[in-house]
Amino acid sequence: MDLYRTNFTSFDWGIVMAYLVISIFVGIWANKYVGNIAGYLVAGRTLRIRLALATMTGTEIGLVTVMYSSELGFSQQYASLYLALYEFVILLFVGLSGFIVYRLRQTNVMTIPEYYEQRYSRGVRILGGVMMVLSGVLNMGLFLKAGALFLVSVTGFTEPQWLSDFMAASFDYHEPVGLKLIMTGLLLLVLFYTVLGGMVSVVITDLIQFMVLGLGMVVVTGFVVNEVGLDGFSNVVTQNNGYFDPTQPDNPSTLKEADGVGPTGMTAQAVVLFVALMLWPAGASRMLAVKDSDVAQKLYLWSTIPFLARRALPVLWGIGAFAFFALHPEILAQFHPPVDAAGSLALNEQGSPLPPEVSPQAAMPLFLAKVIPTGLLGLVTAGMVAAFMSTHDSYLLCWSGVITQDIVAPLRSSPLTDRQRILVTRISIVLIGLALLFWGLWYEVSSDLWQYMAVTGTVYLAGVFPVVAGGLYWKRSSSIGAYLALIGGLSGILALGPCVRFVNETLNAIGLSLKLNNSQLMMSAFAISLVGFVVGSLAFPDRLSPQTEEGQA
Amino acid sequence: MTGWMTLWTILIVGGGVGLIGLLLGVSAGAVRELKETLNELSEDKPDPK
Repeated sequence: MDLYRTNFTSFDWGIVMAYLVISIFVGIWANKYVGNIAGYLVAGRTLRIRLALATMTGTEIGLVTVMYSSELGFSQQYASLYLALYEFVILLFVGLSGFIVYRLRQTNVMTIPEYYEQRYSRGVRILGGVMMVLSGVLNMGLFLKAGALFLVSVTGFTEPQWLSDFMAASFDYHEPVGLKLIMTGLLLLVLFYTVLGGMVSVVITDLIQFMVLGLGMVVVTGFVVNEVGLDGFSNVVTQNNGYFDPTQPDNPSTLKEADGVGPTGMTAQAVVLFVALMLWPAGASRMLAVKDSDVAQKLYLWSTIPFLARRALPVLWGIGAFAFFALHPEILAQFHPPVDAAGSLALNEQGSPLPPEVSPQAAMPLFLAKVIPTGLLGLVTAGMVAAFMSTHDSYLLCWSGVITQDIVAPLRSSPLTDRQRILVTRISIVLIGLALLFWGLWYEVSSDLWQYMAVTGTVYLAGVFPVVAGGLYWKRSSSIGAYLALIGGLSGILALGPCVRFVNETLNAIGLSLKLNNSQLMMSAFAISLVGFVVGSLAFPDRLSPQTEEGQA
Repeated sequence: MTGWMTLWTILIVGGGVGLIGLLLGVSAGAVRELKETLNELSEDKPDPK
């Protein structure tokens, strides 16, 4: 079997292109509805429950979500579904209790850092904005890469010879470049309609994308189940050593030891997801754009369904890819680190396992390229491109809104007009887009996709939870405590792969025989921020303003 | 093993059925609400802040 055989034809390219053209027209059309900054950033806070739910689904089912979920499904099989279970339970809890989200929407803020100023001080708002943008842009770093990998795998894209020759002759550049140019074009398209129409165009395109993507996911699932069959899914566990119990720290489907989830990994992910589902800025911006607090709470309750689907279905596709390629062991072996003549993992000079010949992220799209027929494959790819774009537009608008509202505007002595704010937001969108392009697409990052996202997210999440939850529920919360919590979040960077090695080498150098993993370091970041917040708030309480003292008297 | 596999099966089936239900139940209403939102924005209401 040829690993790179695909059913994708020029007819499928036509379907994808038609979809992209429609998106351009939506951006131009939506521009006429943008009057002021509230209209641009939160669509004038006019969203009702169905529209908010559809667009939140469009945002939250990103191509990167599909890619990391299916990668986990392929490499950890059924055990990776514990993340779907977590999200379901956490959203149910938030939706039923209104914890944090109800009170936060009542404050009428447009961004989370705006709440920091309302509750603490302008300085906390600016620092919070900087931390949010830093974490958010880092987090988006692999989006383009994942998108490129999906497209190249599903389309069987091969670079034209003339392009390779041109890049080599003109720029002395010898790496594959064609796909990078395609992704650059997609990013520019997203920038175009987001810059032009703001939240209004994001809402409209997200609604279209919700329908295209939702239908695409259902169709793909049908084909995957039909191809693999119920027996095939069962064989993953009974015949192929599939991993199904996440409490076990060893994944039986791989040679590497202790590369499963285990209790520590499960605990760290529970903490990250608990905070992320309520306070990750892209989702929170949708919650802040709804009509009132009741709709905000309802939005979380109903989001249990799309969030369950966004995890469970791509994991199923990943498991399907595992079952499919398990029938061809020589192909399956290409997705795992190579082994030596003795059957052990081949190691590099540093003693680490060599990378697999083909990235496990590519397994799902390579599988779909063979089982989805021509025509439908174009629709599915359009759905995935929709997923790529709907996440990018919301994220771009979210981070650029924070730069305008929470960093630039508070630093200015005179207030910005609405026109100036929209202009700064548009410039920020373009600058973030360029940063993503140069870093995410052209810079080689070797990391597990979901782990990378959880770690970069921790930089922001560790600080935001005590600051927002404390601000809403604890009277003694203070600005110094908030500063310490936000800065403490930076320790989350230590959980990135190269930093984990550095931490352990440092611990050994000072005579401590501890060996920490990234899950433990992620939890440490949350603990550092929480302790910093509580100690800072108790030791350095805020001085009450005269109006507040009057009100309390 | 049976307990885990039953749980995972429920989650996968729940995700699939839930998404179909969402597409059927939300799409039409969301389009209607989008029209209402665009009408409100056209009226150029003052910033609620």
